[in-house]
Amino acid sequence: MSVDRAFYNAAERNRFGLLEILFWLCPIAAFFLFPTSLSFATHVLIMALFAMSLGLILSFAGIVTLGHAAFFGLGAYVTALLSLAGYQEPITATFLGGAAAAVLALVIGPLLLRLTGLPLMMVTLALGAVMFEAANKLGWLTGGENGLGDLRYQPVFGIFRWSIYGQTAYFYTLAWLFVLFLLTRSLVASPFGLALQGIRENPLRMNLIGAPVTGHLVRVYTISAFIAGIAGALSAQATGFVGLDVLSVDLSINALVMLVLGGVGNIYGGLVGGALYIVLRNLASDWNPYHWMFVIGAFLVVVVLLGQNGVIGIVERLTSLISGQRKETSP
Amino acid sequence: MTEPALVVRSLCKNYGGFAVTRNVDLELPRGARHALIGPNGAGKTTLVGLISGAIAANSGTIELFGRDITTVSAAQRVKQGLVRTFQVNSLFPHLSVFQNIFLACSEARGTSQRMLGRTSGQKPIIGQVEAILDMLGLSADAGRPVATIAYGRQRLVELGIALALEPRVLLLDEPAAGVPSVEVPLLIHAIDRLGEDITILLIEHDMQIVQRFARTMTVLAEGQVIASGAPDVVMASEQVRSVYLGKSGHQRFESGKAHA
Ligand SMILES: Nc1ncnc2c1ncn2[C@@H]1O[C@H](COP(=O)(O)OP(=O)(O)OP(=O)(O)O)[C@@H](O)[C@H]1O
Ligand SMILES: [Mg+2]
Repeated sequence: MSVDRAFYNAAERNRFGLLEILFWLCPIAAFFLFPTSLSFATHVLIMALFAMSLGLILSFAGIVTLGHAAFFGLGAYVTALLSLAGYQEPITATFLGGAAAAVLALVIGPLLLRLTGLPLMMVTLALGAVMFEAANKLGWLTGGENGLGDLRYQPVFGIFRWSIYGQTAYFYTLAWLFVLFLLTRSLVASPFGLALQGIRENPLRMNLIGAPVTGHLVRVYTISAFIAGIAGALSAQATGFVGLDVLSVDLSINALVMLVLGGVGNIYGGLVGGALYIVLRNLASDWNPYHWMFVIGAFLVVVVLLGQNGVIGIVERLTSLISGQRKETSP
Repeated sequence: MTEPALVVRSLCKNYGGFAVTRNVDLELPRGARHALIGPNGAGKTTLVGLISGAIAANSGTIELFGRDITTVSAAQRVKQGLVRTFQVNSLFPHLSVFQNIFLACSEARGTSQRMLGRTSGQKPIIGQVEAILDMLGLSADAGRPVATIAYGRQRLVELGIALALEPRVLLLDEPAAGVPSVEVPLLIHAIDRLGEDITILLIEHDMQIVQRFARTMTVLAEGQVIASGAPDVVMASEQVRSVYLGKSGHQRFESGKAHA
């Protein structure tokens, strides 16, 4: 028997196993099962992508931020403004939204990432609030509280039109999600990914083995911001609208809740948690528009109490129970 | 070409009004096997912290192979071959023993920048990690999270990380502290096997280990160097005996000599 790849880097455990193939069949199945809810389903995918971007820095590098919506929002506004300025080629417009967020991360990262823990949380929270207020005040640019509406984009590859039923938006978003997932998965399995885990575990010692700790962190922060910016850009394209909520502190905090729900330490944590959170919230607010927070809260409490590590942790435990093997405690 | 490996001049460190390091001078020629001893609280660990750059000095200079590194960052000092270990383990607790060593190897060879390619595909580095694990008798624990192995074996990982960094000057802060006596020979053997080109400073309380290892030594007390030179001369000094060793300590030293 060959050595388990997780021996070298726990993040290499993610491979295309049966479970993984089943997982990716879910969004395909959703397309056929809920043809009239595709815009909602697209929203689910976008939030899953956003939560995955936060999971990359939180789970693997230990960066706890309360301001990740800044990147989501910037990506959304840039893509929206491009459209209004007449630039409507969808793929490059999405990409530029992500790139703008990455540039912001590259600029603020070297200052921010010298901080850790509570100070870092406070500064990112403040930065997020500043971005929100700035967007609010710059009404001539962002539309203020009215937002930017009626955004249009050319057909994808010049073929697939952005239809009112949202088929194009759905598959377009799914494609981005899958590509960025593959990128993230190979990133965390690389020696660089392991170095990030070292920083998460003991930044002082990483410094004393000669590692450029801040440099490593800035790089992964920039990549994460890029992905968050893409998620924002996709939301602008899928809904044809951008409002101030894309920069809200709520969004930053919700992403953290999604991660806890899904599970920290695994790239699927954000995907599962993000999707679950949005679906649950939708069901709960259908049931009772005023008390949906209660349902989410109760679910969160149950998951945290049950478990090891979110829904992923519970599933891992079940599968190891079923296969009857006792495995080493994972990080 | 023959400048010393490490030169420390008039190094001072105060915490508030409390002088922990006072005008310390130290010179290690290339290939030195130098012991640093002194009573608890003498400032040995602080001196290693100052030399490695983990602690900023108040005044004084440090030269590594003739280059002034006083203002060079801790990470850059490591890149220049100045490596230390910690008296109290400083490891990556949830990562495996293998991964702990891998991180150091990977950093020393610039592989940690690699974002493409799996960790399991880095064959040359994996080979080096395995050689270090083998030398320290850690192979059986390779896959276990470091926090789950015995403290004494974690001490070996601490040393393994330092060796993985390909040191030219190695500062060992009580490497044997906390290692069960049966495993101490393994550790001593690993240190003995290090190449003559590597310059070593060893902080150690056990006089038998010091006696076996040291060709030169320095005694530190209350932040000051009180004696430095050949072990026999230093240990014979009245001041050293009164300040540090007492009679029993000297006897242990003599008996260590008999064993060596
Ligand atoms: N950060 C600090 N702030 C204030 N005092 C400190 C600090 N670090 C060390 N000291 C003091 O400096 C003195 C020297 O400490 P150090 O750890 O260097 O001694 P040592 O020789 O390594 O002792 P031991 O043999 O117990 O390891 C001690 O009195 C200690 O209390
Ligand atoms: Mg000490």
